[in-house]
Amino acid sequence: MAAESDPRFAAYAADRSRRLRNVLVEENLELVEYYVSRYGKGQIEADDVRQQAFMALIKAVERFDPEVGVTFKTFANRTIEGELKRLLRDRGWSVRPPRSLQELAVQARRLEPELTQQLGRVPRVADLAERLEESTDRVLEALSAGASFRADSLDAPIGDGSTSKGAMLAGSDGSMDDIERQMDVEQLLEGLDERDREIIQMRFVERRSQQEIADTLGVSQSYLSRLLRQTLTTLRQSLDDDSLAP
Amino acid sequence: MHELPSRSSVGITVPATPAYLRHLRVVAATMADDLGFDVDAIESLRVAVDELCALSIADATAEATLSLTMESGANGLLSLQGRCGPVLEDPVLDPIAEQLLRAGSDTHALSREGDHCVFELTARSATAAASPDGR
Repeated sequence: MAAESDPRFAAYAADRSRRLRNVLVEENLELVEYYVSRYGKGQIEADDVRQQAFMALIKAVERFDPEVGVTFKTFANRTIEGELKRLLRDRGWSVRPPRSLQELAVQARRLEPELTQQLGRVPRVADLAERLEESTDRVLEALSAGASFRADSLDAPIGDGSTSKGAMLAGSDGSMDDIERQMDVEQLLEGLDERDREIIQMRFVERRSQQEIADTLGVSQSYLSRLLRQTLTTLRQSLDDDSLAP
Repeated sequence: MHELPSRSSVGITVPATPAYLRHLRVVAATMADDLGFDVDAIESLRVAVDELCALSIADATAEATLSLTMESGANGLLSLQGRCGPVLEDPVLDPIAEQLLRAGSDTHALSREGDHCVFELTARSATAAASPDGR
């Protein structure tokens, strides 16, 4: 284990040997796993935390100055923590919402039957947003958050024609607002191309890890992560566009 | 995205020393930007290109050069082939380098051919790959 007195940090600072840098990174990988166990269980996917923490550890090795007088571990912890907090700020809402978003999800769910009766159709996100005096983006986030609490109820493939909607809904708790929300989701998924639908299904229905999906598709985990983010952005955009249509 | 030919190729040769790696990173990042890579993907690619090039020059002689050809192809595919030499030892792909390369590329390879080190890497833009033509 590297310590503040480890002369290899000074050696690396002097010659910037890539091999030495990688040895120092490898010897400190336990720091990455510590942060995965700390941050990777809820707000951000563990694979993304691992990747971000790994890159931060490399930065720490590259920037560590043994002359400053702090230990490498202290410096690396500070660096990794800072990078992960930035990641949480950027993406954290999409997986585990803050309480206010959860409350908004509950309010939106309660409002749906009432609006359905008033409008004579299932309300769109824009309808809910107007009534709740919130932006469509925020209502959409809340609905996504609400759906995430019941992800386990989506226990069958969707959108690829191999399973009926009835079979898909059989695993839910059976309430009408859940069914309507799942129909909205299914409609959105039908707009995706086959590969993106498969990815969404593997990740959110089959609950497979990013690494498992990446291995199945023969791509890197980080590439898969980008595809996922992009597809989710497309879905949000689709719903938003739909809600703005006359 | 800029208006570019559907396929373009850029070649660059530099002395095989770390000081020149930044030029290679810049070219790779520029081509990736043209192909529609997002900023995260570009950063990962820069790291991967830097890692692969750094490993290839690790045991290069003082007079060695590093030549790199980068091609942007259909469906947002960026492919890169490099050749560095003369080198004194076989290149070593350690686990950390492997992890960095996996994060920033779809495929990669590094080996020795005679007294040269040769390598290649491919990466694909998620934007282009997500389109119906990108399958």
